[in-house]
Amino acid sequence: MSVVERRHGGAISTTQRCKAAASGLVNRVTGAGRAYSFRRRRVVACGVVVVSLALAALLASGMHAALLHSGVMTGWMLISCLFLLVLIGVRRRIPVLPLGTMSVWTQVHIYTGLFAVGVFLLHVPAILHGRLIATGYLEGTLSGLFWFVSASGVYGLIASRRIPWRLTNVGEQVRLDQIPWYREQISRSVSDEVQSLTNPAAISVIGEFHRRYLSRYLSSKPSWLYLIYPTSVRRRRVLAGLVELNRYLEEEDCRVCGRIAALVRRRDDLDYQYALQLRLRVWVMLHSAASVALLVMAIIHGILAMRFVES
Amino acid sequence: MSRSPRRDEVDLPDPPRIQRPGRPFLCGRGQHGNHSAGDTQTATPCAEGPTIAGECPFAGRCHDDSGSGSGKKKTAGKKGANDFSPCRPIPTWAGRRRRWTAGVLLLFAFALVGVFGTSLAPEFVRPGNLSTSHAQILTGDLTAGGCTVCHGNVSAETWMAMKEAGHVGTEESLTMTDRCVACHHDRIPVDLATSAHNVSAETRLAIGEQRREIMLAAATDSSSVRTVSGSGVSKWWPPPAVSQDDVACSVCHREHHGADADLKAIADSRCQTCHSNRFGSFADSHPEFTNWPTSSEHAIAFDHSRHANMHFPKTAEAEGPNQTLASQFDCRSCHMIDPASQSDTRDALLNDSIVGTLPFEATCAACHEESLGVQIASGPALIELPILPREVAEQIESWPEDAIGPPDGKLSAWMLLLLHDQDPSVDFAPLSNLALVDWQSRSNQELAVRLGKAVREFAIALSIDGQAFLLDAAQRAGADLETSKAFAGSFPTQVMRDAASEWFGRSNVSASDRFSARQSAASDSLAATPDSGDGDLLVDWSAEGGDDLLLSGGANDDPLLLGGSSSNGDTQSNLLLPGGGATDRGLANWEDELGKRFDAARAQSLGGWYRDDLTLSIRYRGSGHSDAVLRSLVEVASKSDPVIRELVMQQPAVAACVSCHTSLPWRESHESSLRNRLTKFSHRPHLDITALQNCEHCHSMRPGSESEASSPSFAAATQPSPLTGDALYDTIGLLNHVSARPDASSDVSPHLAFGDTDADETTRHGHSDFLPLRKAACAHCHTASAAGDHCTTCHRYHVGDVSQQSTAVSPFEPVR
Repeated sequence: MSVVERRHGGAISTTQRCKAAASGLVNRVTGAGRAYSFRRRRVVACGVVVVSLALAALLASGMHAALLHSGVMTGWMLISCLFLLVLIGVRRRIPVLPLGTMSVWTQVHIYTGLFAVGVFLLHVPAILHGRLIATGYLEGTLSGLFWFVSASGVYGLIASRRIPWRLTNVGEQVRLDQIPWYREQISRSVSDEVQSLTNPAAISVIGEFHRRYLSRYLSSKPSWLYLIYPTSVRRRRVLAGLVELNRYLEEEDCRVCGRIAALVRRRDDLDYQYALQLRLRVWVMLHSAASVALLVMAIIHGILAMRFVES
Repeated sequence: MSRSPRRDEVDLPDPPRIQRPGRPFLCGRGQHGNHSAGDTQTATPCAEGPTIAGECPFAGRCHDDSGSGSGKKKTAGKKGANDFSPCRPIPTWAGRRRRWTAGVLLLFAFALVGVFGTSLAPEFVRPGNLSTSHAQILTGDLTAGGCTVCHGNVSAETWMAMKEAGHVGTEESLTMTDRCVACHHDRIPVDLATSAHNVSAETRLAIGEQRREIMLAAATDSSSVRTVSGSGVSKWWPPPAVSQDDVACSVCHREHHGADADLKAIADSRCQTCHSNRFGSFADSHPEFTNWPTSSEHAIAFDHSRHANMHFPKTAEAEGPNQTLASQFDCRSCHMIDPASQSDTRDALLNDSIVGTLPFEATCAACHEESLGVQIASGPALIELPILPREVAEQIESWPEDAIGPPDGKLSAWMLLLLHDQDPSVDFAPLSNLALVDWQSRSNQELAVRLGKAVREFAIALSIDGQAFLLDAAQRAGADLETSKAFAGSFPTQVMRDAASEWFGRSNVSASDRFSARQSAASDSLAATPDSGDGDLLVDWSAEGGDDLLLSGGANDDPLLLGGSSSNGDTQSNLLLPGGGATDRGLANWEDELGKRFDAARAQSLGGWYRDDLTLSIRYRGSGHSDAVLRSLVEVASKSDPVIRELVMQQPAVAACVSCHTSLPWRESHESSLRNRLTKFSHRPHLDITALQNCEHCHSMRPGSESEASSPSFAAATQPSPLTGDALYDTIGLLNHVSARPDASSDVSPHLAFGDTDADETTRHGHSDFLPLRKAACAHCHTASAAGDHCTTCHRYHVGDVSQQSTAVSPFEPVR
């Protein structure tokens, strides 16, 4: 092989290596060439959003240059997005109609929301100069609502993926509406365990502990602080107290203490599930209520804008 | 010890099967201490469940059971409950969520209704703070209308009161632009407020055509001038979506963007969307300057090059070692920085008075005053009797004998001017040179008769009405009031009365008496005046010469005339008579002296009106620079018929004026041409840069003729080519004179050139002695990252001329 051929071959191989590396990178990012994956869906959807935003920005720029109010166009685009975003609530309440799966609706909701945030930046360029909230009362409220809904949407996007995973790790999943019933049962079981004691010393020790600590823990709801940030501090404190009782008890009574400790753990699991499930539900409630308010304010803003815009 | 059980090893009973979490309430049996229903663990929720209002269905049955039959028990048994004790229903999450959501939304709705139904609405819907300038007016005490000042579709009392049409009251036809112009009509012409650049479509088209021609002409020199357009992404910008004749103010000026918002900020792309030539940055693709600022038209013709290279050095050489600073050519000797222009006001920016020149007395008089006095010494005649043939003169009543004879000479252009103004239907211009008139022609004879009669009537009218007649004539001819008053006020009517009486009021004296018409009181002609009793009361011809104190022998007592015979005998003491020595000499034979022709140069050296009996005329001798009478004559002539204007301009005194003042106004006017209004430039910020304090950094004096040809930009502007040279100058001149108003092009331009009205001549009298400024000189600093290169840095949008409009009366009152 001549030097020229070797050089030529080397050049080809380098080119091929570059192409292969680029193709591999694309495949890794997009998941192309493999079976359908969430990553591929995410990349494609994000690409669509980015391209759409670029087109919208180009259109807005062109309209601005053509002496038109590009804000009118972006405003209509925004309000259309808001309607589409709110429709997911309608779809959820009408499950019988063949309107597509909730998964598809959720994906559309997510990426439409991302697109709406981009369009909002086009609609209110002052945001890029650091003024997040408009100065007028109506528009200040509107922009505040928009940011709240957008932020809650982003939080929900994260929470809807993290919280179910954390709930699964806890163990058996209990419906939120059944948790009070389970709490009642646990409290009743603990009472039964205490009442089943026959050893006077155990009755005195465990009964006193139950009266002073356990019953209060089992009968009360978790605190607001726990609902916001659930921790195992309270559970560990109760369990530590139960362990302390063991040195005063016989073996049989220690076994009762062990069952009570299991019930306390069960109760803590329920509280944990309650806090996380409540967090999801409160988020949905706030997000949907704020979305409705945002839509109403946006409609009012649109009417006013169309009435006062001169050209 | 055995280990404790795991949490998942603890058995708990299964939850009740009958549950409806979607309902607002759940049955409370077996939950939350609801142990009244049997108080057992087996208590399960009833099948029916609580009502939507949260009531247990068994709550009322306890009472009914005591009096009713067993039917209810059967019903309860169907529910699966072992007893009929009521429970306390538990609110579900779904119920709570609905109630909270409904409550919040209801509160929100009430808040909206409360806001929009009250007077808070305008404040609430206001999208943002107004800019400072508008806010201090609209939100202050000066206006009570608030939003209604600008927005017609809102009520000041309650926003909800706006009508279906979107407007309130009788102002529904007013747009926001109308309301803007209601306040800004002093800067924006009302009728062209929505036209692009506030100029008419015709003017815009004319500008476009002229620009194209200039660019084409400049493009012939492809090595130096680049007419780049459409570079980069700019060519992809869309055309304007609005009509260029209907551009609302809000297209560019967006309010409610905060107090610090710049209402005048506009993107370059928005400027260029209407323009056919588009470009990116100033440095890279802005078209090269073709003739900036060489096309600036100046009222005073001043050849900088000749003064710098010829006159000043010659003066300095003549002065020798004693030369003063005044003999050195220095730009700042004439062009002073006006402190008033240092403010950044619109007027200061529009009128960059740094380039304004100092007055004649401070700059030019040292060299030119003496020669000017010589030039204006030969004053023009306000009225001059033409020499007419006898056959013509006989048809004119009392035409003086002295004015009869072979026609010769020229008619007074000033007189022709005023006669033409009195009767525009008659054109005496064919008789302007009497020697060249074909007197055999019947029509010429008839015209001469009309001329003679008109002159006679003019003289008599001038004698009777005097200054009032002149004031009216001057104003009617186009002179402004101040100049007309100065002109008319200077006129000595009595001189005219005497002249008219002498010319037309008595029998004509013989030609030999022409030189002794005012010879002396002893003249026999006065005593023998046969017409003294013909009713002419203007002059008491019967008066004896002794009554004329000026002419009588008693004149020896007149201290004004007899400076030499004053008591102290000091012949030089009479300061009122410049020629005191001559007067003194004349005293020896004053009668002979008075018999001679009146010598205005000697006896009236300071200027003024006098009668010339040789030419049978009333003349004016100019008093020097800025003489009011000569100014009025030039102003009137500038608005007169071109032929007559040409005749006036040939008069030596007038020619002396217009040799420098090539166009009106006399001094640099603040009224700029459209081109100058489109482009703004202020020397003030540039002079903060040390290098630019040297004027020649930008204004390079034109080199010699050899260098001229080698200068590419100069060659591009002057070398003959299909559209360069004179054609280019013509185009530039046209561009300078394009008015913002379509009808103004036919009117008298504020810059009216005299004499040779060619635009090239006008331009040469402008800045043509400087090399055109090149774009590179500006682009060095004017980049995006330095001094800025936005369109509005150098160009204005609102260039409509409002100077012709009366600003005292608004087209309509601002809406309050």
